[in-house]
Amino acid sequence: MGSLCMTRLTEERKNWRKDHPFGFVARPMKTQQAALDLKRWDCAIPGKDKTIWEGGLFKLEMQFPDGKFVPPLFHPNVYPSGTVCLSILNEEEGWRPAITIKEILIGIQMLLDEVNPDSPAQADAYNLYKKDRQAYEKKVKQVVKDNPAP
Amino acid sequence: MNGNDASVAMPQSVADVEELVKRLYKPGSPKIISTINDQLLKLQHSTEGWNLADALMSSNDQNVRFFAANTFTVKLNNEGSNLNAEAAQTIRKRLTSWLAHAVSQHDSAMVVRKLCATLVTYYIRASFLWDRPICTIAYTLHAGNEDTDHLPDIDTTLPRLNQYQVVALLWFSATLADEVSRLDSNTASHSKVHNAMEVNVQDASRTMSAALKAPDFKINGEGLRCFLTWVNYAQPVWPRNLEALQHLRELVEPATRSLVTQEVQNDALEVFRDILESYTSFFQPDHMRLIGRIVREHVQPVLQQALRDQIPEVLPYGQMVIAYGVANVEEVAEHLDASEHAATIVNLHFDILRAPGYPGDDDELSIMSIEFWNTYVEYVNDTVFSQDPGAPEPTWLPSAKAILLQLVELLWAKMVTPPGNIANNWTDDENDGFKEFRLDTTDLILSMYVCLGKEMLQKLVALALQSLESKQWRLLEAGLFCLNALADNVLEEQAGEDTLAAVFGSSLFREMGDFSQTIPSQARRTAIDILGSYGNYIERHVEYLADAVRFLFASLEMGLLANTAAKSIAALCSACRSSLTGELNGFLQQYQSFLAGPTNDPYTKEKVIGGIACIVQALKPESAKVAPLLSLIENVEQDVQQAKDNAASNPDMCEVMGVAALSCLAAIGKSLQVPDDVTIDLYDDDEPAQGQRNYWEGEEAEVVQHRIMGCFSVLQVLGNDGDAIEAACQVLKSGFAESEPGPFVLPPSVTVSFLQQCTIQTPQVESVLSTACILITQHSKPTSRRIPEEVRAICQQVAHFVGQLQRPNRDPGIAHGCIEVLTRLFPHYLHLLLEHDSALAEQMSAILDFTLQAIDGQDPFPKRSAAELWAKLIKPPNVPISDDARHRLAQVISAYGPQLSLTLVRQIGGFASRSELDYICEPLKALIVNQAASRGWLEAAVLNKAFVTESGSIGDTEKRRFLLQIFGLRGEMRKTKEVVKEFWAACRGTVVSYS
Repeated sequence: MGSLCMTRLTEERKNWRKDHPFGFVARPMKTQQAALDLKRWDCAIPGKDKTIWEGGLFKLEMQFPDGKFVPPLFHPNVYPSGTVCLSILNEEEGWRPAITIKEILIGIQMLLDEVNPDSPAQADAYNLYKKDRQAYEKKVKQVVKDNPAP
Repeated sequence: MNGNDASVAMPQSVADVEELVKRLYKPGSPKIISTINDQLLKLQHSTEGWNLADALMSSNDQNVRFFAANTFTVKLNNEGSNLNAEAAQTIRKRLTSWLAHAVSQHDSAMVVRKLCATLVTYYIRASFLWDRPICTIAYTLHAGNEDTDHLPDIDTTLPRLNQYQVVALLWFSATLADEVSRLDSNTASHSKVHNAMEVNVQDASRTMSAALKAPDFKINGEGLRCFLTWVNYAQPVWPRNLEALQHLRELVEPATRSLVTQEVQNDALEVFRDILESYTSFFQPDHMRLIGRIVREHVQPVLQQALRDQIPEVLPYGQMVIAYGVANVEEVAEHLDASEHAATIVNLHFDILRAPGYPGDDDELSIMSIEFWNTYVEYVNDTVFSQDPGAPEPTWLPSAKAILLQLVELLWAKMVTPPGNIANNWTDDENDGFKEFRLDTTDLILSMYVCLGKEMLQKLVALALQSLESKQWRLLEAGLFCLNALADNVLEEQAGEDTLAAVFGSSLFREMGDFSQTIPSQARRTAIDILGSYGNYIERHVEYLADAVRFLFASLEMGLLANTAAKSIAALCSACRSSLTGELNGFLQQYQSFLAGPTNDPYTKEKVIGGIACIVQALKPESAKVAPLLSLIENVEQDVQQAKDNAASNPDMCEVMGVAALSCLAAIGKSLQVPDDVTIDLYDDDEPAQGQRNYWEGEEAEVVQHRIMGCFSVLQVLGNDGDAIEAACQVLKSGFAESEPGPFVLPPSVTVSFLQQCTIQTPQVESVLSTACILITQHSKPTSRRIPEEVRAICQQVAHFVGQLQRPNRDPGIAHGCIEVLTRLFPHYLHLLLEHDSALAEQMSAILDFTLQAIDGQDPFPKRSAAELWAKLIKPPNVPISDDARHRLAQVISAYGPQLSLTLVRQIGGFASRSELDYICEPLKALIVNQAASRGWLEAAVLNKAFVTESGSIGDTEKRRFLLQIFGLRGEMRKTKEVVKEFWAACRGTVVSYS
């Protein structure tokens, strides 16, 4: 990764510390040498208030330009591997340095409740979402219970 | 004209217009207001606008004068650049004299500011650059009119101006900097305006200098705001223009006088904090020293007093200290011992954290001060880690570490949760604010750990134990909370082992598990969390395990803690299964007592029963597992019975109990799986020798399996419940993963008959199909047993479903499941599909038509599976198959080749979505590589009349060129995909041409 990109990520870190949305976590991981690895971030995204995801906190590993839920998340737009299918994270489109980590994480938080049915990534969640919304919501509530916000 | 009349007559005179403007500001119906507004807008844009504006300026109503100034602005924005020199000068003279008049009349700020803004608009819009506007305005304010022949120097004029005039001049000057800063400097006309600012800054800085030194607080305050605006202007425009910057830097010293003048101190603090935060390098070293001295002598005492008194006025003083600290982090970190400023900054930050109050509630500063500490610790870490290996440690590092170690204790104290009487009165905002502080502090202490390591752990452990000793539960909770935050880092190193022993070997879990003591439940919850976060440690130190698990079981019966405790039990029992075998009977009893209590619900039951089953898994020999397993299954059976008993009278209860029963059974099954990290010992006495029977194939074991399968009888009353079906599938799947026989390794016929009992109306039949898929995959592994009879039965059911559905879009979920089953037939069960006496022979064409419809349809998952199925059919099988099957396969391909080709071409020709093209490419590549006839099929397909594209630019030539390209690539993966995507885009008309 070029030094320009690293400077940009250092700036990201500073900006995030100064101003980040409530309940979100984003922190560069530690390298073997205990220094911070600015390319890989540990993140956590809270479910949005007044949605079925409220009360949950979902861990995500951000390895620019990819995001991956760990463990994989039950959601129509999340691949069985946990990789999140969000156009702003899409590898083909590339990670544009102009998008801040804050925007990415808020984008994913919005995606949780605002499913994009044109871009399904896992059959289980997608089929249930399309066929039986009540059962889908019940299952999501179970997922929230398993991943409670502190 | 009465007030209710919605009609607004076109004004005929200036007086009419004046009247209209006045009406605009009076209360009235929105409709009338909007009509008036429209009329006035028309007037503003009319040719009479200039004269009208000038005439209205002499109105005695300030709203009318404001409207007049606004009219000038509108005219200047629209026509300013087209004015000839004479007209422009006339207008400017009118405006400057109106400004002078307004100021001399002590007109309202609204009108004066608007006139200043109008003059700035003139400055920007007029095509003739206005030389020395600040000088001109200063003189006009004094003389009443511009003197174009002789413009005295600003220093001559300034002493002659009164307070009102100086304030107006500062407003103009600030507006000038602010408005010009918005202009893009890359255009020629704008760059001229920006260049002139290098001259204007001289007059502006003379004006500000006088203002900052004036014995007048109002003027001082306006001078400060003007100063900030100019500094903000300078930052992006003059990064290397030291000369221009110098005019502003000279103002720092006079501006600092306001920092020590009580009446304007708050204004000054805000301005200096702003510049420290956003443009640190504006200040030169001597400026920083000056500001540092002021912080020490003037800010410090006020801040300390305010912190003691807990008054809200503390904020600007604290923020100033934080901003100064962040801006001077290098000095603070490296010269702590030598620099008085550095010591002051650190001490004040300590004072902020020491002050009483709760973050998010009455303590606003602590959360802000975290930013300083983050900057500080990251400076220390960056410096240490960027050093060359072997370089000596920086001399200042020990004192920096000592500071951080003190910080640990202060942060810990600040993180203590409030007592109930305070917390209960908190609003959501206050709760969130406190949580936010804890979260931000967690981030900080992780960075501190990088620097402090074991010392920090020791400190936290000592603080926690001290609180435990004195039974100060909330303090203990804060200590445990910090330890939780560090867990991942501490566990990475062995260095923390002995330190942790002090916590886990203490009376912590015994005290926490003693529910006769009143302990805040938050403290108990954090204690449960610590078992989760340090699970790996406990796994290595099983001597602490019994206390921990007893505490968890005790917590399980407390409403607020039950969910967390249940989850922890599951995790800990799984991780430490072998060490807990001695506790098994006790746990089984505790499980019964938990079932009798109020906290047993499907969630907690499932977690705990799964946890206990993990311990059963660790028992040896296999025969020892039977009794405890039956005891667990008995609990499931009781729920099954309750479900059945309630089937008629209470369907909701029936569902809850039945689903819980199957979920618990699935949890047991999952827990009984041999963990991934256990290597199978070939010489284990328990392992049957070759030819010997596995224990679970014996009669004794049959009883267990019989009881497990008996639980499925709950489906008699819940056969139409999606959750129950799903849970039953989980039970079946739990046995699939095992490589050796076991209680949950049920005969494949169980899965088959489960599927056979389903119809396309069965809820969650998709789950059953996917379970069947896994069964086939498991029995396709090189070492596994082949089960053709069972797979044939599955296929028959799939064929039956396909027949019932007829089209995939009737239920895309089931269609996908059915096609997935077919893809799993490769390679070992392919003959079931192909041989002429196959059970599916009759339905073969219906099935294949169905899969082509799936590729052609809108639903993504059936489309993907069907494309995969066809790619597999076309490629040569990778295991030997019978001649009959081979013959049938060739027949299928040649019969379906043309239709498949047309279907694929339609998709590539724009029907598929872009993300689906990768899937569609697979069968296409298979055709190109493996089927000689495919060239003819694909050519016929692209030229077929049924193949129409959205874009008119794709004709037969382009289609032929496409074919030539993909055949030329011979199935090369990446390039084929590229060519297909280009053709697709051209067909959709999203690219202009296809070449």
